[in-house]
Amino acid sequence: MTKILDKKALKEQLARHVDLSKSQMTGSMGGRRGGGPGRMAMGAKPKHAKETVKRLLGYLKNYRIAIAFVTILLVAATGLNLLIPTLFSIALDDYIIPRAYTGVYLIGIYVIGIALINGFVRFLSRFVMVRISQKIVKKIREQAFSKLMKAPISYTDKQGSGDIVSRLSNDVELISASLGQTVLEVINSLIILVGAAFLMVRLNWRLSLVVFAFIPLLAIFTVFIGKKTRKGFKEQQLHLAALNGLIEENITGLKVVKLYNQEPVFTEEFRQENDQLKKAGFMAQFYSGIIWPFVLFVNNFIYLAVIAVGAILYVTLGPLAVTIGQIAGVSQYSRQFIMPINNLAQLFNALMQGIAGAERVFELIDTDSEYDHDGTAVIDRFEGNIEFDDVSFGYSDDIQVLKNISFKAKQGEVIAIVGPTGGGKTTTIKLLNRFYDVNQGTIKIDNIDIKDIQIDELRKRVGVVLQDTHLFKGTVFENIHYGDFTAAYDTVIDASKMANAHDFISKLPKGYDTEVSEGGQNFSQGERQLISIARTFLNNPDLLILDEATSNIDTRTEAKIQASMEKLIQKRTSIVIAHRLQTIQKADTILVIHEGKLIESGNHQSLLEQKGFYHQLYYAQFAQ
Amino acid sequence: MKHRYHQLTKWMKGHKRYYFLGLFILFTLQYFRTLPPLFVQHIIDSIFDDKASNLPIIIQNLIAADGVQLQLLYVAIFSVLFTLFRVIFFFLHRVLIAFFAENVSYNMRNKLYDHLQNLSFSYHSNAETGDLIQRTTTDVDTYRMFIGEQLVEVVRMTFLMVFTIFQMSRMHVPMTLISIIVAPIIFVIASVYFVYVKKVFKRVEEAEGTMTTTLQESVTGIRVVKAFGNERFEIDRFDEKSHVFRKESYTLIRLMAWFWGGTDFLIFGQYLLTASFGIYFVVMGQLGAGQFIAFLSLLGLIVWPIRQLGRIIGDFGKTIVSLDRLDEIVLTPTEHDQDRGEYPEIKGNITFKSVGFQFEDDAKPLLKNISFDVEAGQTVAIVGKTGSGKSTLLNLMVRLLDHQEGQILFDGIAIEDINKKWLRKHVGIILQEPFLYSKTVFENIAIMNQKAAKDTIFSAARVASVHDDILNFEAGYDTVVGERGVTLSGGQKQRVAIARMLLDNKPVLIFDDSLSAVDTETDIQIRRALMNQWKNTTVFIITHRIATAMEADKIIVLDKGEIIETGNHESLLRENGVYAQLWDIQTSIVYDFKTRKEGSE
Repeated sequence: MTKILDKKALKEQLARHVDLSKSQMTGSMGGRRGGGPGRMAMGAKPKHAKETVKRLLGYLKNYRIAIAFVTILLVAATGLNLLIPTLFSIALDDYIIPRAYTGVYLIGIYVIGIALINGFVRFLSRFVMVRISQKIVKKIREQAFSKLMKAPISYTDKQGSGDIVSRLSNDVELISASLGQTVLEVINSLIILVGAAFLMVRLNWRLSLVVFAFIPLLAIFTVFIGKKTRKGFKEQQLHLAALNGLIEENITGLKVVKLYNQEPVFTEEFRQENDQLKKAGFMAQFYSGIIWPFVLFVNNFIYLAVIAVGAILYVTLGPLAVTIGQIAGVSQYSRQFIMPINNLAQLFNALMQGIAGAERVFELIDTDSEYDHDGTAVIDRFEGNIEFDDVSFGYSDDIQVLKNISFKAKQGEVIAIVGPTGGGKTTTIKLLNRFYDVNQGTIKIDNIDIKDIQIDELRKRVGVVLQDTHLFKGTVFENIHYGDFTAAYDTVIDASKMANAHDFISKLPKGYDTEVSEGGQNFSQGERQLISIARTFLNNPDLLILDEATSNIDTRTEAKIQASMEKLIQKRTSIVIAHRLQTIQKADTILVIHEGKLIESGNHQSLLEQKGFYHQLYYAQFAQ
Repeated sequence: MKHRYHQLTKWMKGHKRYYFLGLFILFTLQYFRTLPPLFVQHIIDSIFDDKASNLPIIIQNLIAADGVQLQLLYVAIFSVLFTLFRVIFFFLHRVLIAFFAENVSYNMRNKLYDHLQNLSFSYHSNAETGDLIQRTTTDVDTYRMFIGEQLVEVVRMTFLMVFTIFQMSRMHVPMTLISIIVAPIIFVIASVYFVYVKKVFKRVEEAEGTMTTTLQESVTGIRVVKAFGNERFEIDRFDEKSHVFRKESYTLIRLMAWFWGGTDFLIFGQYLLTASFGIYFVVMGQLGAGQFIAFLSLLGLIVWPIRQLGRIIGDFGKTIVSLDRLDEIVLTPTEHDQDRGEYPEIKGNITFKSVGFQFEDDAKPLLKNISFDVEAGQTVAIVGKTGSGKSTLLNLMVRLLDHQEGQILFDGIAIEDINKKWLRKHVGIILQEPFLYSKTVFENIAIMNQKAAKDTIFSAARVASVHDDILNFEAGYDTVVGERGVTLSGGQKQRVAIARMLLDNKPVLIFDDSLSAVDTETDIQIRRALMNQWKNTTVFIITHRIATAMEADKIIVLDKGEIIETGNHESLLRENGVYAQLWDIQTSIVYDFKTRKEGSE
């Protein structure tokens, strides 16, 4: 429990701290994480269990006949199964002791028949329930994903991708397990518990009292050990994770370990963690090893107690009070209690986890879609006149990231946004394609408020090239094709040529069919950017948003990117977050954004003459 | 075969006796396990019916008594004591096996870890971290499960079956044969099934994997998805994967249902068969009613678990694979195995004589015919494209890699004659992507000199221009760096790495593009401070920045593993070659239009 969680908590704290300062400074796209509901994973209790269960039942509605059928069968079969000890007792009293064996055989056949029916029903019910749960879970999963795609970017930013992926995989899996197995097992355990008690009392109530006297002891002990065992395994898991972390850290940092001769330090650390894992592993085995022997022993002890009490009753009250068959029967019923008592606590836990999982998934499904209040204007083409009119914006209500920004860009112009990191440059461009919506003021393109335009249309007409580009798993071709699925093969290649990406792609062993690994990690940042520019060329937008690279891409690739970006800019109104002097000098208008405010604007020359903030910035950075 | 046996047992060294004791107890327990049905037989046949009891004579004598009631009472008491005995020994057996298995895997992990640490850098540059972690944890655990559970289970079932058949045959031989007739059939079916179902399992897992990958990608790439308005496309794609996943799961469920249902049916068939013949034999007077019941309970000891046996034996293959993977690590020689140990004083005169290097499995050499001379105290800049061999060159100097051709001399001594750890102690490298441990910033700096005083650390941090940054963290020097230092910016990490290096005086210092994420000005500032402090240190600088390279005493331009130009800034500009070209490009583009106070992204 201890070490990892502490580390994790610390890390989260740290991340939040750094993120907070970052989001104010950079407002970088995708930098905002943390927040979201705290995931204390195991043992999370559902907050609105009732509503969630109701909703889950809603999904079950379509299958109610099948479920009712299965449940009835299950109850019947379990009931029959419970009759077996009674049958045994009859066999003993009526046939074995009077030595009338033919009856025994008949009962034997009954027992086997019951077992057969029971096996079949169990098999059928599980099969049916698993299938139903799979269908439902598929539906839920697809609903959740569909909503995820339609939810605004702010949702993904707020929740963090890890949390979302976990909702759609782990939590959905929890639902599936609950519906497919846990529910059935709970029903089954309850039937056994009640049924066994009832039949036992019916068989002989006096002897049953002996059994009932032991049950609390059994229940307390199994629940107690069960808890210990679970805790043991959890601890083992935690230590294993810690050990994994240690190995991972050391191996990824092995170069450093070797260079700095740090081997002994890490060996010692590893030993300690490994030692703890060994101890935790042993304890987990130890506790889990107690249950079975204990239960077996108590069972036998109850057996003995029943026989002893039975014998006393027989001697004092005579055969009317108790028979040998009843002694055997009751003692067999006493065994039926163990399993459900042992299981129910765990099952209940699992069920709660399933409900909590469902709750988290439903939370996602209930998120607002950004298409709910979609604009209606359909745009064929933009001329490219952009107007920001008194725009203010903040990611949360209390902190304004942009304050009263107003500017205009005419068709075909290049606007350069400059200013210190964190001043609000990136945020400005996020508003233009409605990744975020303004809090105040309006943004117009060709004199239409962008809120009135269909979101998809708007975004297709506004191209974005960011510093860190995302590539999807698939081929290079598919990644470029993503810009316009209707494009023909040659068009894709043309776009790639325009973006100066064709050269390096054709040199790849498999050319355009080269597989891009997850996140595009097998390409350099510069190459990724070239591919994403090709994608944008293919999309052929009317407006452009560019974020020039600041990181160290090697000189030649950098020059290529620069050239292709210049091509992209031609004839399109463009807003560039500029880092290069050339770009800035060429821009029609330079917007200087600092601390969320537009403090200066004009062209390079006029701004220099103003001798204001831009002048300072320029001399600090470029003049030698 | 012998090799396999050795492979399976070599890890058990030192603890075998616990294992054998545990298995011996298990052996005894399985015999006792077959006795309870015989108690029932004893009661029915012997106590009620005056027929022979099948209990062992010793036990019969122990519970002998006069009168039915007393006999029953003795049986009951004895069986409880008997159970108590079984239970205690069972628990003991488990503890022994658990103790054994945990100790074995503990030793395995230690040994693997030690070995991994001492393996050469070239081994690690070819190995994937994830894979190594998996070996040290999952593969070790596979083996632990094997010795702690699977093997024990197989041994247990084998003993149990042998004893069960033995007890049956003591009662009635033809009935014994009839009662185990279905066992081999189930065993074969189970063996085939588990091989097949594993493949289906894999398909399901793969389907789930692709689905999750699609999901993950759509989430991380949501901006791109939305920017192109491709939500519908993503939804369709996800639905398709989700559908495939469900389809594969169905196949699996159907298969499982058929197997468990089918074998259940077979088993009940076996019960029916045994019961029918049993009745016949009882009617014929060859079998007691108690024996009949005992047969039915003994039967269960064989037929139910035999289904699992198929699976466990099927899993043995996994253990072999795991052990092979572990052997791959352990049998690789470590880099210190053949280390020659001289400890000369290192001053910093370095000579390369036609040095060449190539990875064994590469077609082309990474370095060819590299020759140069550096005097102690000089600064050398190495310039070249990504992949030109710069980093390889540095790795040779600290023997993370070993050159195959030519000679590298430190103050006239061949590098391979110098003890590796000694060499690394005197040659400091600061990497481009410095690795910070998940410890505090303070500890991360102090790593080079655990005994360094606070002030020493602070002043090192000051020289590296990172002191103020650190004080700005919430917990200052006690701030814990996230896994791989993610919470620090690239520039901050690089500067911490530099501070770390400053704690110790080194005759040779190498900057592997280690100021790339620091802005030009801070870069210059740090280097000036360093030069002042370490006048006699030989410094190598790998860099993309010509502005950094130009100040060096010697500039080496690498291309495709060869030196194409050497000289100083002026002479190289005059040569008008690659260096001059780079100079042109870089002076026309000006980088880093950022605020100064940050010095990082």
